[in-house]
Amino acid sequence: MEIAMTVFSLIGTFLISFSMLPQTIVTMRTKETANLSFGLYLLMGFATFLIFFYGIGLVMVPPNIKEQAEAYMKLPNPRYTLTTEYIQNLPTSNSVILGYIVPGSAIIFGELFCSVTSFMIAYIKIKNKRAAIKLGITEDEYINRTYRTISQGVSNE
Amino acid sequence: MNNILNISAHSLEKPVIDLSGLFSFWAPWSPVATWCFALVVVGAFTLLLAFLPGFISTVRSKNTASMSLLMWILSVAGLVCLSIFYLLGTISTAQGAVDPDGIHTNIPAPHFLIVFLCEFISCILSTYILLVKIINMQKAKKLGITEEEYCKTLVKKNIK
Repeated sequence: MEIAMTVFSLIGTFLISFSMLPQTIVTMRTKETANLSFGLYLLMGFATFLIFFYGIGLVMVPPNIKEQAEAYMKLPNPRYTLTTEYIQNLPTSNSVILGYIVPGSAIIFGELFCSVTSFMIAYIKIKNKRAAIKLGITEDEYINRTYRTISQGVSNE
Repeated sequence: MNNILNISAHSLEKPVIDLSGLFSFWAPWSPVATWCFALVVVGAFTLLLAFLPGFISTVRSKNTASMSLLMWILSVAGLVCLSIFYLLGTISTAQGAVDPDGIHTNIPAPHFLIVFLCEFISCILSTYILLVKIINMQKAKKLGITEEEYCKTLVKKNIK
């Protein structure tokens, strides 16, 4: 079960983290953001940033949690009572590494990457929109005037 | 409850004990800290919210010209894998769910279940968008026009 969880979390995080990359490359090159949804990229960036912290939480699970629980019960007057059955059901070191630490590490890097790329698109979008509002024109018109003219100029040269 | 979570050792010989996850409010049978649960649940709901506007506008207009095919393929594939990961997490935490009193509860860790549902719904929404995109691309190809041109005719039809 832990191996399957590790495999699916690694593949899933890898795919999700690179899903925004093609759009980011295109947006960085062309600066065309008129047809992009600001809400999608802002929320996507925010969501993946929160899930990045979940990855930190997974990585923080101590691999020797079973031994730690046993040691806790050996403390004089422990505040909480943990039964032997409860401690026996805690994940072993291998289970913690495969089920928590490896997926957690993948989530940290993958979700952070996805968050950064999503925020980059959202930033370019809001920058274009603000500039267009200042000039009293639509975003599409602004992009046509500034970026498409520049790229045409470059291609003509 | 969290103030007892980082229990210091009584002497240098004893190990430092960190059982923060075990005393978590949500699921004492899962060794993940409570703050972690809260963040991932909010994150999963936000992810669901992120896909909703795109889904609604695709249902209404069927206009997919501005969408990147590769982005949606990667998103759907990633969401399928992550849904399976959270489903397996739900099953595995339910199987090993023993509360500190030693009673088998068979209750999964709530964050795994909630995040699985959010990821699964997000997956369905993005699959719908991807399917509409592929159908539009194929229809446009059959007519010998670009997807953008085909979508413009669709928008005109919807307005009429």
